[in-house]
Amino acid sequence: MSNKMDDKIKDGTDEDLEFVLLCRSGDVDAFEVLVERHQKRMLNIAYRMTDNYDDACDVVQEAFLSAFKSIKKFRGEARFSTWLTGILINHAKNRLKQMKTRSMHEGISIDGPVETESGSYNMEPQSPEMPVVEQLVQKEVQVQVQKCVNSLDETSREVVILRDMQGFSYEEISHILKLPEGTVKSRLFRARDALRNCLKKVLGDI
Amino acid sequence: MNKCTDIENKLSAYFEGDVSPQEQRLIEEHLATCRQCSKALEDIKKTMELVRNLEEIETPPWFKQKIMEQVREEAEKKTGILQKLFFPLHIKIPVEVFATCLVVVMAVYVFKSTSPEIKSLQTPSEQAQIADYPDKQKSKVAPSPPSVSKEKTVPEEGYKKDKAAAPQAMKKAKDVAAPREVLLAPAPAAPILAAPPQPGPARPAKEEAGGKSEVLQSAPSSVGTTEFVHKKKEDIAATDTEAQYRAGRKAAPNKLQLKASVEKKQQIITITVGADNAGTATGEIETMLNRLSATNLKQQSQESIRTITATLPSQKLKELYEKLKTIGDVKENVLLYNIPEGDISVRIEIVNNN
Repeated sequence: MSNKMDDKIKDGTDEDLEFVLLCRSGDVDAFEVLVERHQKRMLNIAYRMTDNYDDACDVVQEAFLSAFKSIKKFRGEARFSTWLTGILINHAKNRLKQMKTRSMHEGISIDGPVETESGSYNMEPQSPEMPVVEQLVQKEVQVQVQKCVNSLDETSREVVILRDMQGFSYEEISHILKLPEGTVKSRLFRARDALRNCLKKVLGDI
Repeated sequence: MNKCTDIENKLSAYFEGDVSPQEQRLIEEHLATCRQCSKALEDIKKTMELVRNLEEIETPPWFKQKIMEQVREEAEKKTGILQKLFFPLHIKIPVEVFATCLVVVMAVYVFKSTSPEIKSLQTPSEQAQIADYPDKQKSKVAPSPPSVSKEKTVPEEGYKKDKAAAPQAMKKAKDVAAPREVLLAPAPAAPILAAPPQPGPARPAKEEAGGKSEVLQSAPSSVGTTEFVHKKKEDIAATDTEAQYRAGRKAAPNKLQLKASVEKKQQIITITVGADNAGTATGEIETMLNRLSATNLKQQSQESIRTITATLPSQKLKELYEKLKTIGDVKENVLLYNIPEGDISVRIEIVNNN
């Protein structure tokens, strides 16, 4: 195990390993370096998953804390960032479950996204006289894209986020999600089609 | 149309290069002829671009610090748990020891503070038993007469020796008595000097009485008056004291009970003094007790026996004993050592020697 990690340090394949080892020997400050390095990427993944800034912050904090608690369980089989992302995704999923039960108790939000059985985002077709894409500023397009991402079901969403937003390899994604690569690919392609359809509806023309 | 749907479904995979060479050729051929499908491929590319170009969000200020705060708390908690596991001696055992000590101290305190009450509760029942069953009482009182007789044997032994010595026993006895008188004389001399003038004249009389009693006691025995008579007298004295003791005890309960509750149980020391003139001896003893700062002085007379009861500090008991010796023949029923501290009730019985 440690040989594997030493090799990776020598190879320079995982620049985090040095700090992980320090952290395992009880150096809390070493963990601060890891937090510094990964906090932004982690927050972005969490934000795209939950679509709520405060929830995303909470999820990232939880994920870092549980990573610290279980840092001795990190075997060095994958990069530290991959391992950390796996923890984050699990926490984000749990948070989504909580949010779902919360919203069920609170009732359906009127201005929230409406989910259909197919998991696609339903909206009134745009009027041809006023093409939305021309009137929307860049930020508004992004809001629509995010809405479409959110309209995807959880399994499709996490693959799109990891692959198309964060650029993880199929191997890494299969490691994070603990799924075979084939499953990851088929989920990804299905997610992209759903996303394309959603964007077509929202933006009229991509 | 069917072909277009199939191709569209495989466009993502084609874009990723995740199709077999055969499929790739088929798709490329189709894309060249079908505008709709090539548009779909464009859409996929644009979608991916839109997703990739989603603006990155920034972390809130102090985000890292917040995370590290939690992490450090966790790290401290871990060491806290370890300390609890490995060093239980630091907190637990001292607390336990302290608690145990406190309980013991409290128990002793409670016991001590309640014990006099328990004793005062027991005494009436004991007394009731004594009153109800005279047999028992006798057995309880019994130790005093034998002790009296035992002590009486002491001069007898001396007398036996004298008897064995020679027929001049009488003279010898006088001789023996005289030095004793002389020896004793200097001892009370000091108190006389220090004492008020009143007891002064009483002193020589006392000495005389003491001396006489000494002489008279030894005289008849040494002459050879039958021991039988002597013993009879003893028996009478014993029964008398017994009766008196009983009467005293019967009269006493209330007083005893009160005393018991106030100053725990007091020991009563009985001293028997044999004097040839009980009347004068009683007066002498009373003045002497007054001088020794005795309290609760009481006199009682019953035919041949006069009794004085008094309370005086234990340290004065020895002094009293020494002085009583000068008045008459002294027999105490309690050994003078092993006397408890504090006030002691003393009972002096003055018996006529003849």
